[in-house]
Amino acid sequence: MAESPDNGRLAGRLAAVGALAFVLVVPPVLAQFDEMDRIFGVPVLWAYLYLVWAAVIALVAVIGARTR
Amino acid sequence: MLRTGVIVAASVCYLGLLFVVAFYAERRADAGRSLINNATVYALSLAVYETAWALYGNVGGAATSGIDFLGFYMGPVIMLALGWLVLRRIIRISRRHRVTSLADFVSARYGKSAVLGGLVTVIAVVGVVPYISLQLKAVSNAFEIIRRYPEITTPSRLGHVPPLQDTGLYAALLLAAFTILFGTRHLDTAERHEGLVAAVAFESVVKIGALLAVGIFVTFWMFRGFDDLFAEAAHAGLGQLFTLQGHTSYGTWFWFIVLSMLSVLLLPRQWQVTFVENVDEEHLKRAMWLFPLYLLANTVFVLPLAAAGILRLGGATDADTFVLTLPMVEGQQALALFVFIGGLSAGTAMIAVETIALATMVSNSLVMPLLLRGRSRLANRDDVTGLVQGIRRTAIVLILLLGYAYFRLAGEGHALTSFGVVSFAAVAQFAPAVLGGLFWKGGTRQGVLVGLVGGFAIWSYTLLLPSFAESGLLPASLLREGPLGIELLRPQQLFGLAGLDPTSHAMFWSALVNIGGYVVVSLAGRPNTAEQAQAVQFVDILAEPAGERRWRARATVGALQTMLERFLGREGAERAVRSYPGASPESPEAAAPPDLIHHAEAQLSGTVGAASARLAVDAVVGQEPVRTDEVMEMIGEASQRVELVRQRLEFLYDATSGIGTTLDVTHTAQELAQVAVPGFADYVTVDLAEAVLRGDEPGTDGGTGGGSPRMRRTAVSGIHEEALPFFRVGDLITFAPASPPARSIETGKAVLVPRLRDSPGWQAVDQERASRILDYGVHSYITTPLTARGVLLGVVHFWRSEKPEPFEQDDLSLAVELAAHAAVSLDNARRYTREHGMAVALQRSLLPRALPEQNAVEVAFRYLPAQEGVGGDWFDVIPLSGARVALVMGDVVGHGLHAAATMGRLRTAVHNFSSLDPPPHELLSHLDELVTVTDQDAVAAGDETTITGATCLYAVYDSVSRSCAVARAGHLAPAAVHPDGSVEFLDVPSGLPLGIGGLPFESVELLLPEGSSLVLFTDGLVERRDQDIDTGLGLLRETLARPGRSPEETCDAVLDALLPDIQSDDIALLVARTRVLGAGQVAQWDVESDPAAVRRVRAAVSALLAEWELESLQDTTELILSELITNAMRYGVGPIKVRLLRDRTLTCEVYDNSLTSPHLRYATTTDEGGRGLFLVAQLSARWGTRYTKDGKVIWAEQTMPEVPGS
Repeated sequence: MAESPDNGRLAGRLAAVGALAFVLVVPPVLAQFDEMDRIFGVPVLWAYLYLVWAAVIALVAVIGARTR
Repeated sequence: MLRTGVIVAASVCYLGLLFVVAFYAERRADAGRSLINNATVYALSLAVYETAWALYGNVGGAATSGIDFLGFYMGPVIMLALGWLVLRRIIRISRRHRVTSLADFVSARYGKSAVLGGLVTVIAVVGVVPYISLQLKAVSNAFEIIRRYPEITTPSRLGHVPPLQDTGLYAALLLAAFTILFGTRHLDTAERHEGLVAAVAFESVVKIGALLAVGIFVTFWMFRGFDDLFAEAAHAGLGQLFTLQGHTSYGTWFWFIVLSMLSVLLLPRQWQVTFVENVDEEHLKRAMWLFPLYLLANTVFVLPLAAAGILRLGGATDADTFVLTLPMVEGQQALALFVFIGGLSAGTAMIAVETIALATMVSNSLVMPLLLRGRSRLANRDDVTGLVQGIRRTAIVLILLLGYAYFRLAGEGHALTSFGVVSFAAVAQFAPAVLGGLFWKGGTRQGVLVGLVGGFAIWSYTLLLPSFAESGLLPASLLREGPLGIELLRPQQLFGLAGLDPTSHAMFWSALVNIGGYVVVSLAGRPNTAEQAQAVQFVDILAEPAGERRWRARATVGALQTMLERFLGREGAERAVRSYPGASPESPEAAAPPDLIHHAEAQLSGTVGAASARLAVDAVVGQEPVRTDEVMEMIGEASQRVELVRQRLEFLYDATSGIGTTLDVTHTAQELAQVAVPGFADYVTVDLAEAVLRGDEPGTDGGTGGGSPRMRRTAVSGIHEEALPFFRVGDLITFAPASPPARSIETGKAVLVPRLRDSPGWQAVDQERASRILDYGVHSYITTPLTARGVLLGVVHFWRSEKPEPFEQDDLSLAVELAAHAAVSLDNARRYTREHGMAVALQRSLLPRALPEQNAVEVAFRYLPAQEGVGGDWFDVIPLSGARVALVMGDVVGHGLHAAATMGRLRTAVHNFSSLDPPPHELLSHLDELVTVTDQDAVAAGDETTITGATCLYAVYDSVSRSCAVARAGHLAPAAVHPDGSVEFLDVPSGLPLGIGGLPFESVELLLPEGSSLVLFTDGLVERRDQDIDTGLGLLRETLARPGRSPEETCDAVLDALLPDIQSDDIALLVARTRVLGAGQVAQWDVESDPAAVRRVRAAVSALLAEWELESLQDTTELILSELITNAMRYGVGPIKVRLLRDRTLTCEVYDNSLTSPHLRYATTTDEGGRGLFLVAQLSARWGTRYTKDGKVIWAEQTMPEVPGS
């Protein structure tokens, strides 16, 4: 529906971030990191999930702040 | 340190602190500086998602199945990212439609269905109770473990304790009290709880602090950082905890993500804090990243703690307690207490918000609808607040006790940790209804009903039932062999679907049934009107007001104009286009500039509403195809409006036709009071200015000269009659300056007081009366001035008591229209009253009040003005010389002031003419001439009303000769009632009405026996619209035919018999009973023309006077007679006759046959004669001349001396 273009754009961008996050945390992408190895001393999957998580937080924060 | 007392004291202190926070927040809120009007507080309040179970159980879960607990956190992160798309809509809908719970939302979305609300409530309660029991278990277990310090106890070893010694029960009761105190202290229409939200945000800080403290202590104190810890764990063979494969299927992982996504939206407590408690949707922007960040911080130490717990405590300790027991084995009592407080914090926050949300749903969507259906009287109850509070509190206690019971029954099994998933799966059943309802307009109530019931049934069968079976409440064979051994129905392999873990299996089936049922049933049916209307409201919630839209499409000016005409009419459309401030378009074919299209839409939306205006303009401009459902809604809305307008018009039509049926001010006021009851108001009172009641012109302020308006209560009407609290009819009312009526009089505008109870100003004017009115049940009020031509006539007050809905703005305009109409009627009635009063006064002043004294006839008369106005009837009795009397009856055409004035002129003229004493036909001729001349003048002056057509009857009765001369000009012939009672309508030539001229009038002379009655009347007496005049005359004849009645009696009898019910014409009636001057009162002498005769006559007269005992008049009479006789002899002709009449006066008459008239001369000193008449005039009271058939009479009257005893 017609709404202010800023809000519509913001919703769209954030929805895209959400979709990206979803794709990254389910197989098959997830399966690529599902192994027992450790990286920088921490488990790979653990590190990967928190990385994705942090990235999503950062993206949402930045996108949200820019369209004010 | 960790003794039971200390722990309890710390817990109580902490709960006390929460209260302080809550009270502070509410104080701030009352002061207008809300603490929770802050994006960070909002984000922290969302963290109610983190429960005590998460605090303890995540580590436990991670210790057994590794990293898969993170799936529960991926969902919220994704859902929050979708926040601007999904959450913001729900926030807006909740705000705009006052949705206060999940059940409310679903019910409102699908046509405000009470059934759906109840269903959602039931599912939510059933689904969430296990989750609540989880919190109770977590808190009570933690308490049991920490109070046994330094011993490390495993919950499973705590054994079975009787309920009264069970910490869980006390925890449940304590939390119930806490929740009741927090959540139901007062009712808020928005169901917002400032204090609670502040406390929840505070708790979120405490619980993350506890978890971070433990995490940091363990990771960096007990171990040397993450890599040390993870390395040791890997070394100890815990590597599989770092992966999903091997213990958790990707399917489960996927469902964890989906379930948690939906849970963060649909759990009752999340719904409460996210949507209901939201202050500003902008806060969502920060929460969208701050809340995931909080969750991240909250979970980052979970896996390390699990690994550390296994490494340091081994398998002997329950992994669910690692967070608590790790500090305990290290001897960190303070840290352990902090963790316990953190867990308590998480538990109380979760339980408080969850139960409040559930209690709101239970009371608003389940119990109240049932109560309102069952006991309709409840709807009229004044104070439902107490009832609602009671229901909520009961619900809170019951929900917590239910949670405790579940914990007692099922909680001993190992499956408790999976209860969280069970709850998540339960609330996930709402997803199709809520999300579908947000984005798809096609969903129907039936679809939701089928989907929800199906999904919930599957959930119960495939998740709840197995959880009971695993707890030992149901035989385990149910899972293995299916109910009654039917393998196809095994709860965890329904219809043979094997190979899935229980969660995936349950979610697959329930999602299939739920979504499938929702979509298929919705598509199969059609949304009804209410559902459509709500669908548009919900789905298009983000639609911005029309004005902000930019039109890029092209449309011609002509097309736009045609569209406007369809809605506004030709004139309206032209006005709308003319009011466009920009350059006016050159031709209809020109393309309309975007601003003009905007202008047209704005003009239209004022008439048909914004949504319809948008659709209409869309249709012309063709930018967007008009969707069928929107048109449906538009039509529905429009037809509702039309129906409403039609009803109002009908009422107004009925009401206005009931007002002004008469021209009576008071009656009109009563009609106004009556028509509005009960259709519009329950009571109506009307006050009118005093002057209006009198018919006078009131001043603009009600005729008080600027002081406080004073009115007289003129009419009261209501559904009840007895013991009304209002002023009574006839009371004089002074409106206090600030009262609503005074304000409405001052401004000339109607005043609406929708809720009298909330109007301190109104109550302050007269506290006692106000409270009586309120006690009577009156709750809503409109007062409207009655003004016509800018003049205030009065005020009308409308009151509502039994109609539950207060007056609205629309009612105000209806009241104003009604009052305007009534005011015109009142003004008409007032003017009529005034004119009528003036005309009556004029006529009465013109008609004889008392008839002159005369003895010729005995007279009685009646005059009755017509109801609708004064007429021109008149009559007169004029004494004439010679014991005669003239009777006059006339009728001027028409009614009103003009007729009355004309009548006055004619009457005066007749009086003047009669003094000349002409015969009746001659007098009528004079009158006719006068009327003709007057009318000519009137016509020349452009006056439309003339006198022509007036009728007159003139009769002269001589009481000496008993003769009566009658002439008439178009008037009805008089009736003569003879002494024997026979009635005769005198046969007098009719003559033409006055002013027409032509035929001369004719007198008829007849003899009347003594005691005959002459009856003169006007047509009003005998003429009726519905009957022939002869009928009236016949009736009159019958009535008159009674002998021996006095004139008064005759008048009464005639009016009794002939007075019509509705008197359309005025009536004049004159009855004269004839008398005869007896022989003893008359003396006559013939005088020969000889001076000596004079002496003889003088002697005879002198003797007669002595006989009549009038010696005092002897000298003057002799003098008068000798003068008159001498004159007659000197100037007159033929036989001279002298007559003396002793009546009221002593009349001397001298007859001769000459027609020359003597006239008074003022003789000079040298004149020899010419002093006779002068002398006569000096000596007599009156004198004059009249003409007879064969000569003239000179007469002189002398007043009779006062006779003692006469």
